[in-house]
Amino acid sequence: MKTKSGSVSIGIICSCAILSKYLVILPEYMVKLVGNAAWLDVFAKCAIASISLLFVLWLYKPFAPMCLSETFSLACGEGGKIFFSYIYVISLTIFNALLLRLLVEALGTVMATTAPDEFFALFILVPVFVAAYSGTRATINLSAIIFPLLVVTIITVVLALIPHYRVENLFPILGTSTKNLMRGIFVKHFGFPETILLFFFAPMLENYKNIKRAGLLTFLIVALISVSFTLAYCLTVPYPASKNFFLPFYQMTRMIKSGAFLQRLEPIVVFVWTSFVMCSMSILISTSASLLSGSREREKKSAFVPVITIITFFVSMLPSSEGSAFYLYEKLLSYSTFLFPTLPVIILTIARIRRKAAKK
Amino acid sequence: MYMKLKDLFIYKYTSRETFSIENADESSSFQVQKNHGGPTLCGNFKKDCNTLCEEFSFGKSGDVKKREFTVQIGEKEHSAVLFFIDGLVNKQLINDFILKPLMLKSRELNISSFRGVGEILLSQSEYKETNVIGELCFDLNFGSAIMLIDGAKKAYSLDVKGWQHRGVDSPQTERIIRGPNDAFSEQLRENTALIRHLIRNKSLMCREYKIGTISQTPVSVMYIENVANASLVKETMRRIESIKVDYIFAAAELEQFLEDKSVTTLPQFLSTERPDRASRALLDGRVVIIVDGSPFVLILPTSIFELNESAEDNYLRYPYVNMIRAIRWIAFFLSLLLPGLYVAVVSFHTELLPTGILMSIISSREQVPFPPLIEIIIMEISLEIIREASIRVPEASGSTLSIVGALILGQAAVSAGIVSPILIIIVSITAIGSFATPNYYLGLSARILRFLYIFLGAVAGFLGIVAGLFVNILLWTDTKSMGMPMGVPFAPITKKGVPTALFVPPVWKQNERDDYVNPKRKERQSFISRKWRG
Repeated sequence: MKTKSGSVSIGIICSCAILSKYLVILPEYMVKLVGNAAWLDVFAKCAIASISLLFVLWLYKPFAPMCLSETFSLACGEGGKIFFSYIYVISLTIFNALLLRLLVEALGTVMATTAPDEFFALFILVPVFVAAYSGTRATINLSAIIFPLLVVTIITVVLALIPHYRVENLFPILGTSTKNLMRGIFVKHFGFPETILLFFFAPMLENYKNIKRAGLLTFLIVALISVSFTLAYCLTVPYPASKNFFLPFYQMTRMIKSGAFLQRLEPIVVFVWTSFVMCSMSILISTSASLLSGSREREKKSAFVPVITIITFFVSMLPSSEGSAFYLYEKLLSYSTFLFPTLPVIILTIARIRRKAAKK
Repeated sequence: MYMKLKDLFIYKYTSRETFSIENADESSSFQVQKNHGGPTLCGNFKKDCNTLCEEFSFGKSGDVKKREFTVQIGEKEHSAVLFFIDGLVNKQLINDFILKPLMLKSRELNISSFRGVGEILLSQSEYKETNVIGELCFDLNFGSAIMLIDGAKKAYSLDVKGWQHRGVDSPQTERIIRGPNDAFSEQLRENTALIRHLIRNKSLMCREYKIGTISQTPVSVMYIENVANASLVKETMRRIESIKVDYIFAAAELEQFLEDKSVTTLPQFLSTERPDRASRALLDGRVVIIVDGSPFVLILPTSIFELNESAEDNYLRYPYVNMIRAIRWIAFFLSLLLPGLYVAVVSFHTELLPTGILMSIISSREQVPFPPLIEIIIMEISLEIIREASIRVPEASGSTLSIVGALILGQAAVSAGIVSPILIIIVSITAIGSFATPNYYLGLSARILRFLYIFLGAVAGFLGIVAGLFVNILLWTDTKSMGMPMGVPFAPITKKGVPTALFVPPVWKQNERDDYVNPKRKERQSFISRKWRG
């Protein structure tokens, strides 16, 4: 039976990877940058990221549907392939580890238990490991089931918060200042490094048209969810309280009054979100394992999955506190534009030049 | 030394057992599976008679019967012998349509050659002439009478099947309110006929196989040639042809030989006892496997979502189907997760409940000496015991058992303070939920996994349940049914399958077959199926 992955499935998994961090920290992080205009900032960033994706896609067109790691070798030879693959593996693993740590801290708070962080981290990593070990296709299938649950949850939260919306919270509409907003949009990039996954999954999509469709779908989903959620956050929580609002998704859910029977829905919502983040983590581990096996020219990537999972666990436990994990994550995000689109643009440009030269 | 110690603990076949198995392998029945090749009759009547006596175990097996008589062909009297197995044949047919014509009419009609035996004297609808011993052995064991006439080049295999069997009955496990009430029986040919009766089309194919080197169980693979995906049919046949086993008696056994993944609780084929459901599956491009002796047939491939569909869904109007399907899914998830969620809420997430309900739960648990985990495990195991016992007890005692089990024991457990009343409600809803699951295997799957969720809920609350569900859904969506992912049409997403799976349209709007089965013929009906509307 023919079962290729469609552009919708790939679009969903890329959106999962991008949005997972968003639900942990993004609205709060954005408000710190630009104040009430965070939703405008997110919208502008999505637009910029979409344009940069289109540019990268244009550069990538002659190589479609080749895996991006193959273009590394076209551009810089086998050494380059290994080098750039390692860069991506290391950065994706660090992102994953910090996300795990933030999730673990969040769960510890939600469950109000005295269990150590390691317990939660292991409890999350075991299913993540199983998913990553089962392969990319299995994780893609899984995310196709989990993603609609998250979308329904977010829509429910956004709609259920309507009684708490205060339009005056949005003013001044340009946030703390126009200068800050412009700085936030154009200088302090909030990257979408996980977009790179699209180019690693390209062989599954079979042709350029499908790759482009999956990319545009990814950004459509990301833009819709992130803008609507940030807008809901800005409408609900007034500035400057929104600057220091721990676990925005969790706190917003706490505000919902859901009647006498289920007086506090937040544990349910938080665990839908946890499964979503687990999906994202497993796809990142699975992709890292693919990159490693590709660079080492090994057929079986599953051998790398336990190694990456163990490293993720230990790296996640390195920050001394939640605050330091958050700080590190923010710092990494500030430089994440290097992973996408800067590095792919450089590599693809070199590959195109070398290809033209070889043709002549 | 090591070998001797190992022998003490590890069971091995004795030489005698090995011998008997090997003999069976080399016997003529094994040859039958290899396209009926193997040794043949030599043409000498006496020698052939002896060979057949030996092959048919005449004298050793009490039910193998032999009848000697003479037939007049031309002017000459020819000796003849008839072998059959008592109980497998209809003796009336043998007397009236074999012995009487051959012994009496051959003299009246004055038959001149052996050709006349088949063309004039034997009025069987099905008979064949062959000299392959393996083929004769198989036919004899499948209810045919084998006849040998002195001077004839080949032996006659005459179809006189007539064993006792259950007729077409109403379904026991798939009862519906509207729709036909026929069910498959243990007879392969009757089952194929029930399907042919519903699909009167020349494209309906029925490929025959014999599985089991000893049992030689007949198996039919049915499909519609211009609808079913050729690669699906080919793959099914490849898997069936590759099975090497001594015996097989039921579709449930064959299912395990054909499935893609054994490490999962999920059934990978749909089994049904309803000919209408099997026929509908065939018309949708699926393959149906019928095993002789089994009243259940296998439909393949299938998806998780189809496992929770009932045969009745096809006979109800679409608003009812959509509502009932939603209720079935709710029932399934309740039966899977409710006890685990109870443990998680009581142990970790008490803030989820309003104070009034929480106080009521706490006060009801005050007398209970066990933690929630032990309390619920006691109740769930008791329920499983009652359920298992109710299957085995005679029908007349069934109601007594359920009264004793459900009412008296439950009430007594609450009064004795062993379990809390709220738990009785939880366990009852769980049990009722599992009965609402139409597929027996899917229900069993929920019964097994429920214990896992109880444990996970007790260890890590909702996080544990989420982790369990994550792995569970992963394994389910990663499972394949004849190569087709079982999570379709959602995982992977198929273009036209998702809307139909979410909302069943009216019958006149179901224009296309399921795209994930990839049938040769996509359209089920005309785009405008109700032309009377203009």
